[in-house]
Order: sequence, then C-alpha cells, then structure tokens
Amino acid sequence: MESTPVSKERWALDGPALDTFLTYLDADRERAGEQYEKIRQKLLTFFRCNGCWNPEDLVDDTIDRMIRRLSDVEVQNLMSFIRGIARKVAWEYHQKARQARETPLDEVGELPQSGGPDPEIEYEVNRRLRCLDSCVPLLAPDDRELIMQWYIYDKGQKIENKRRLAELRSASPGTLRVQAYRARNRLQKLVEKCLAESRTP
Amino acid sequence: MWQVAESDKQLIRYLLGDLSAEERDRFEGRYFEDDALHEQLLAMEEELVDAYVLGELSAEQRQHFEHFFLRSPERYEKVKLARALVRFGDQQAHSLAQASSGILPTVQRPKHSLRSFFDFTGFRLQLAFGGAALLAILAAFVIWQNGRQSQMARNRTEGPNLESPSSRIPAMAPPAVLPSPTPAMTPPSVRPLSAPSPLAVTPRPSEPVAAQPSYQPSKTPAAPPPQRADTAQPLAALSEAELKVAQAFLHVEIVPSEDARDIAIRRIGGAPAASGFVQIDGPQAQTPVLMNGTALARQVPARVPLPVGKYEIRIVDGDKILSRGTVEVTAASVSMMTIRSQQ
Repeated sequence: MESTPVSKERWALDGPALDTFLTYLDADRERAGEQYEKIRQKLLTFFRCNGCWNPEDLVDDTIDRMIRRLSDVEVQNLMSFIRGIARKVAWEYHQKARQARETPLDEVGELPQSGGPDPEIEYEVNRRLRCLDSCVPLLAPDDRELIMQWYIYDKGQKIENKRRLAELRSASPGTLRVQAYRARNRLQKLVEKCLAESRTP
Repeated sequence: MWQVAESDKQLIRYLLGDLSAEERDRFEGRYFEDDALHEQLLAMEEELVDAYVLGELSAEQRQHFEHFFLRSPERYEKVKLARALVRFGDQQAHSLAQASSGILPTVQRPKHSLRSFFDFTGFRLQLAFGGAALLAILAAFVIWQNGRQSQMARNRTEGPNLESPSSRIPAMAPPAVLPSPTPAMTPPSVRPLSAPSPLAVTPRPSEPVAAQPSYQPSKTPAAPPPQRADTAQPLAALSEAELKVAQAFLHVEIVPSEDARDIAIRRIGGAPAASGFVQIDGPQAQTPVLMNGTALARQVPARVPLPVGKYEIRIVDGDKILSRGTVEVTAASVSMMTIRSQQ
C-alpha cells in the first residue's frame, strides 16, 4: 500500500477532496472533525519524534498525499495507511536533509535556546512568567488548582508531592499526568495568546 | 534524579529517540491506534521537559534531550514555558509561606510546606485547613499582584520602554561553567598581535549546567543586559589577509573534539541545531578566535555561539600550540574559558 512517487507539481487539497475525506472518517461531520484533529495530532507527534524540524509542513504533506491516494485505493486500516505515508514522508525529509548544504558557522546567528543563563532566554522566560501571572487566574478552578498543586512543592519533594496529589485525586500517576497535561495545554494556549498580544504595540 | 515507572520507560526512550527502529515502529503502530496511549505520550513529553528544566535527567538522557528531542521549535517553546512555570511555582510557594504564616497563627502548621497540608488525615482539620489555605492563597495572590503592578508602574515611570529587551532583562546571574577538566597550562613566551603579555589558558572550576530552578522574586529590577564581549566585533569580521596574519601569530583556536557534531552546522529548511556559547575571558587583547579557518571573534574577551558538542580550545602561536583545554557546549548554556596573563 505504497503511495505513488511525488509528482513535481504539488497536488492541492481542495474543498471537495477534504469533504470526501471527512465523510470517509465519519458520516457525522462533527465527529469527523474530531477524528481529523486526532490524526493531525498523531502525525505531529510522529514527525516530532522522528527528528523532523518542521512537523506542521510534513503533516500537511502527509494528509495531502493520503487524501489523494484514498480515491485510488481501498484502505482496510486507515491509521496503518496514514502511518505508512508518514513514514515515507519522514524518510524523504531525512534524505533531503542529508543532501542539504552545510551552513558555515558564521551564517547561523542566534538560535532558539532552551534555557540557561543566557540573557535572551531569561528575557523570554520572564515574558512567559509575566503572562502566567495573568493567565493562571483565567483557568477553570479545577485546572488552576491542579497547576498550582503540580508546581508548588518543597525542594526535593517532587515525587512525594505527585504521589500525594494522585492520592488526593484518587487517580493513578498516569491519569494524574494526563490531567496535568490537559490543564497545562489549556494554560499554554492562554500564554501564547498573551505573548502575541504583548508583542502588538 | 528523575524516577519513572518501569511502564513509562518506553515512552521516554521513544521521546528521546532511543528505541531501535523495530521498537519505534511497533510503538508508533500502537499509539496510532490508541488515543489514550497517544495522550499519555504527550503528557510524558511535558514531564520530560519539566525534568530537563529541573536538572533531573541523567547525563545520557540530557544528551539525547539536547541532541534529539530539541529538534523541534514547539519543544523549545515547551522548555521556555516549563522554566517559567517552575519559577512561578517557586514564587507562589514563597508567597504562600509568607502569607499563611500571618494568617494561621493558631493552627499548628508544619513548617512552610504546602504538601504538609496533605499529611493530615482528619477530615475536619483538612476542611479547616482548606479554607484557611484558600484565604492564604487569595491573600498571597493579591499581595503579589499588587507588588507586580506597582513594580510595573515604577518601571514605566523610571525606566525605558518595558517592551525593549534591554530594559526587561533582569540582572544576569554568573554564567554556568561547564566541565573543563584540563588543568591550567602555562605556555612559554608568546608573541601576541598587540597585547604584549603572554597568555595561558586556565579552565575555571566546574559547575553544573544550570537548569536548577531557584526562587526568583517576580519584582526583578529592570537592568540592561550585559554587554556581549564580542558585540563590537561581528563574527567573521577578518578579511582573508587578516585571517592569514591571525593564523600566523598568536590566536585562540576552537577545534571540535570527537563528540562534537555539526561543526559546519547543517541547517535544513532553516532548521537550526541546538547551540550554546563559549565565553573566552581574559585581558582585552587583539587575539582572534578562529575555528576551521573562520574568525569567530576578532579579539578576546569574546562570546562565540557553537553547536552542542565537545571542543578543544587552543592557544596557538603560528603552528605551535601553547596550551589547550576542553569544553563541552550544551544547549543554551555559556561555557567559560579564561585566558590569563602570565606574570
């Protein structure tokens, strides 16, 4: 169930093709939308975890190819089919990466940073800290409480804190982690909005 | 050290790119079919980022994290948010401890810990504590919020535009120093381009690479950012002729050691690799810093960006290596080497 070689001219995903695909996912449009979003998220995870820098573009490429192929072949297992295409897209990405020219060090300039004492990073972290001040109170009470409980603990007591938190919420550690992830995800969206607003003059 | 359940180890190994091709393929097949497993994976991704920010990863995990995990811009963003959240938690804990000590004078409250709230088993005591703690949180939040607002107002009236990075950056802590195991070396007499004193490389004592969160009051005074030592001298500012002269005389050379990757950085579709900095300190002198025949700085002191990896820093005079030291560059860190005048 391999997809055809990529044509030079990129096939464009148009409205009818997307409609056909959504119908394929589920007759109910709302449920089809949810399914579509889940597929996108899994593909994003897939490309991130396969060392691809621009997962969004690769997800779009994968979905384009998948929809294109769906009209030609009968698919027994959609997720397996999608994963097959994604693997091919990732393989092509890494092939191109190997052929890419090397960039001299002096052309690299400032790179995104992850943390540490660098002043630019401190500035970025402090911007987020200021946004947290305003965004945490905007969370739903349960999310807010969980975020506070998740991040407030004595030094060296992180494990014990989570154990107690799981007990308090009658949740397994895995469930608690997922709850915290969801709350943090909602918080992240608020922070992103706050950061975008703080950039506008 | 970060402790994870046995059942979670596969998730972590997958996230760190540490599974074999066969294991990875099997695992991907599972989460493509299983929404719950996919969500667990995403949740573990967040926890992994927290562990990195808190400095809890093993050396090997950290290496995988920086070389593999951080290849995506979304993940850089997660690291920044995690750092902010950890500080946020520290500040809240601090405010909470201060506020609750005033609000709950008659209740025996063990130390200043929020977790101790969960130690009590009596329901009524929990209820009473819950109410009091809620009050404390609210009070702390109001105090803290007011403090921040007044600080912002002060900054608006006293300082330059808050949006300007230079005014928003708090005073920088001393940069982290990465392991630089070679002892100080004393070169024989040397011939500097303009500074007359001979030089010796003296690696500074090691410190861990930062990531430990520390309480930082939210009211950090606005301070200008520290001047980059090499800001006046842009990278590769030497002409070819100057470069030849520099190579013939005293200069600092950065040479990737075996573990260093991507020295000529391979950038794909605008994708930058993880990088850090090496700060080369010492008496100001026209001693250029070169790497692979390219000038990274015209003089020392200088701060040069480098891809993550291990490097050897050499003081070279013509074709003679006077001294050498090694340094490891990790993502977003500043590794320091000090060049001292020899008396």
